[in-house]
Amino acid sequence: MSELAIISADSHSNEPEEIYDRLPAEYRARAPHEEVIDGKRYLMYDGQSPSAMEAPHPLNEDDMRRYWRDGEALGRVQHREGGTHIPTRLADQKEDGVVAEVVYPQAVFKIFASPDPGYQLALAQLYNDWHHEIFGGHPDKFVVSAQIPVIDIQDGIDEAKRAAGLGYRSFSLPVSMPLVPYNMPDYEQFWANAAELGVPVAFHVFSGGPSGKPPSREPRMTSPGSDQLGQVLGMTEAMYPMVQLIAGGACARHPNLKFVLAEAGIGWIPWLLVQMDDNHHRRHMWEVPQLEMLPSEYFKRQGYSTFSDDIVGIITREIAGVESLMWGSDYPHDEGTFPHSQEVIERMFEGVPEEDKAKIVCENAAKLYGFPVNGNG
Amino acid sequence: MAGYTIISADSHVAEPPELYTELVAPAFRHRTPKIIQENGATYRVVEGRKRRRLDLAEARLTEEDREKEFRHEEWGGRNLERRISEIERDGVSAEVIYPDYTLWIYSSPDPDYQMAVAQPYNNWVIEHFRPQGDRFAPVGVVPVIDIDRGIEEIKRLAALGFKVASIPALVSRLPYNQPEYEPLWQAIEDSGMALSLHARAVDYDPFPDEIGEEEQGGFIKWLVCGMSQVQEPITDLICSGVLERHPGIRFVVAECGAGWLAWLLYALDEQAEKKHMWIRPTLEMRPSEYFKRQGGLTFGDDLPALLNISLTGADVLLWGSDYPHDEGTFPNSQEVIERTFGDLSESDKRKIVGENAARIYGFSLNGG
Repeated sequence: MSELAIISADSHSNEPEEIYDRLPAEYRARAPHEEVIDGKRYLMYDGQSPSAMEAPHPLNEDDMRRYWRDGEALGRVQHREGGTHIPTRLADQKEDGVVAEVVYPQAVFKIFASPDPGYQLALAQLYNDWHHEIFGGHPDKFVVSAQIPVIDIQDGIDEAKRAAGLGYRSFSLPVSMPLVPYNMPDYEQFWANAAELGVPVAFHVFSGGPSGKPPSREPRMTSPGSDQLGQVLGMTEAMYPMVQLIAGGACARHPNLKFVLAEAGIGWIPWLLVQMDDNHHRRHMWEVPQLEMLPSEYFKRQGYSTFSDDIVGIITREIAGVESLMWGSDYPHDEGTFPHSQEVIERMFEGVPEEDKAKIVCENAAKLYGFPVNGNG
Repeated sequence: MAGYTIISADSHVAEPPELYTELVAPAFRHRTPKIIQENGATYRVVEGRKRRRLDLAEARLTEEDREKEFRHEEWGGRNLERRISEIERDGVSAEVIYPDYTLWIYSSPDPDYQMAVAQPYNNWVIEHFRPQGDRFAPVGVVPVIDIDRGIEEIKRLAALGFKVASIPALVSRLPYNQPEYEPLWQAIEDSGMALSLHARAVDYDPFPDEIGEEEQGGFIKWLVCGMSQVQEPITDLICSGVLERHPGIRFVVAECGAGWLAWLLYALDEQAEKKHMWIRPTLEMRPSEYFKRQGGLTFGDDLPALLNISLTGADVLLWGSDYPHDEGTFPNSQEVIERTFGDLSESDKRKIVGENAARIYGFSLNGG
C-alpha cells in the first residue's frame, strides 16, 4: 500500500427518506419517493423521468458492497448506515486507504431539475441542515458540499452565505442551467460572493437544472445502450460550465473564484483546453469578451476536475495542469473504485513522479478544501 | 513533411449561387439560405435557425484571416485549378469535400425542403468535382428525417459514384440508438460507401434565443462543445449494437477533434465493466473495439490526440485542414503538422495524414 495520504475528492452520502417529513407541507408531494410502475420499482425526483431501481442483470459480490445494498433490496440507491453512520463510513475508508473525503450528498441528483424555486430552496435547506448535523463535527475528515439552487439567484446567494456560516467549504450548483447558462451576467454577484468567501463552486455531473419542458413519464435508461449514454456522456456535460465560466469571462473578472467539475473525468480536459486556446487564436475576431490570458491559463489557475480511473488524463496531465486534477473514489457508487482504490491508483500512476502523484491524490484537495493531511497518513 | 502524401479528410466548398436560383425547384427557392442587409447590418438567414449577424467580426480581421472563408472571393473554392494551387501551397494533395450551408439543412423541420436542397447539391457536387476525381472526394448529403427517403438517396448516391454519404451528427428528435434506423444502417452497409457525420450538422437551432451567440463567450462554447457533441452519436452507434450488427459500416466523424477519443473509449470500456448490471444490449466485444474496427475522427491541430496514440491506435485518426475555415489550419498546415506530430512513428504519421483517408475514401497514394 502507498505511503501517501489519499483524499477522495468525490464521495457520496445518502440521506434517508424520513428527512422529508421535515419539509414544509406544501412541498411534500414533490419530495423524492419510490413508485411502482408496471410492477417495477422506480425513484421519482421532481422534474425528472422515473429512474429504475432494479438492474436488468445480476449483481456480483463486489456490487453488493456498494450503494449499501442489502440482500433483499437490490435497489441502486438504498439508504444504509454506511452513507451517514460515521463509524461505518470511517471503517470503509480505512479499508480503502482514504484519509478524508469531499462528500457530495445524493441530494445533488434529486433537487435541481425541479421547476419550483420554492421547493428547491426548502429542500436545499433541509439537506444542508441535515448533513451539517451528521458530518459537521468532523471537519478534518469530511467536507460536505452544500446544495445551492440558482433557479432563483438571490435564493442561491442567500443560501450560500448561510451554508458558509454553518462551516460548509463547497457549494454544489447544477451542472447545467439550460434556461440561463452560466456564461450569462445574471450570476455575476454569485461568483463575486463565492470568490470572496473562498468557497469553491462545484458542478457535479448528472445534476442538471430545469429544461423548461415537463419530464417524460417514460423511465430513464431504457433505450438501447442508454446506460453508457447516460454514464459516460453525462460526464462531458461538465464541459459546459467549464467553457461558460472561462469564455464568458467570469474567471477573468473573479481571479479568486475556484470551480470543481466533480466526477467529470479528466481525459477530455487537455483536448478541450487545446481546442479553446486554438479558437482563442484562430477565431479571435468573434471572441466576446476578449480574454487577456489563454483559456487554458484560467483553467490552470481556477479550475479542477475529479476522476476515479482515468489513465488518459494521467498521460496528458501536463496540458490540464497537475494542480487541477483530483482523484476521488466515488464511494460507494458502482462506477467508483471502492474497495479497490489502492489497486487502481497503483495501476494508473505507474511511472508517474511521486510529486505529481501526491498532488493529484492528496495535496490539491488538501489545499483547496483546507484538510490537515501532514502526518495524517 | 516532404515525402508524404497529405490528404485533408475535412475540407469545404461554398455552394454555387445557381444552386439556389436555378437548381433547387422553384417552390423551394425562397426558403434557401441567403445573406441580407438590414439597418446597416449583415445577416445570414437559414431555415429553422434564428438569423445570425455576420459583420461583427469584420473590424478585427487580420490579413491572414482575409485569405480564409472565401472572404472577398467569388470563387468559393469551386474553381478547381485555383483550388488545387491553393491546397498545394498548403502542402495538401487531395481532399474530402463537405459543403458549407448544405450541412445546415437539418435544422429545417420539413423533410421536403431538406430533400429539395440536398438532391440538387449532391448532383452538382459530384459532377463539379468529377474531372478531378482522383483529388477530391465530395461527400453526399442525406436527410434522415424521413428514413425511407434517406435510404433512397443513399442508393442514388452510390449509383452516382459517391464514396461517402453524410447524415446529421445529431438528431435530437430520434437518436441513432433507436431501432427505426435499422434499414438505414443496412442500406449504408450494402452501399459500400463510408458513412460520415460532420460536427455541428444538427437538427435544431443551436442559438434559438440568441443567448450568448456573439456575446458572453457563446460562440466559442458552440464551436468547441459542438465538437464534443458527436460523442453522443458515436456512443449510440457502439452501445446500441449498430456496429456489432453491421460490421461492414465504416464511419468517420468530421471536424470534431480527436483529443477526447482516448478518454471516451476508456470511459466506455470502464463503465461497460463496472455498470455491467445495467448494460443493454450486452455486447460481445468491448466498446472501444467496435470503434477501432469501424470508426474514425478528423482533427486539425490537436496535440492531445497524438499524445494518446498508444491508447487509440493510429488507424482511427484522419488529419484535415478544414480549408478554408477560420478555425482550420490553412495556410499553415505544414507548420501545425510539424509541431503536433513530433514524436510519432513514421508509419503512424503516414496513416494519419493520408493512408487512412486513402483507404476509406479510395484515394490513390501514387505520385502525391
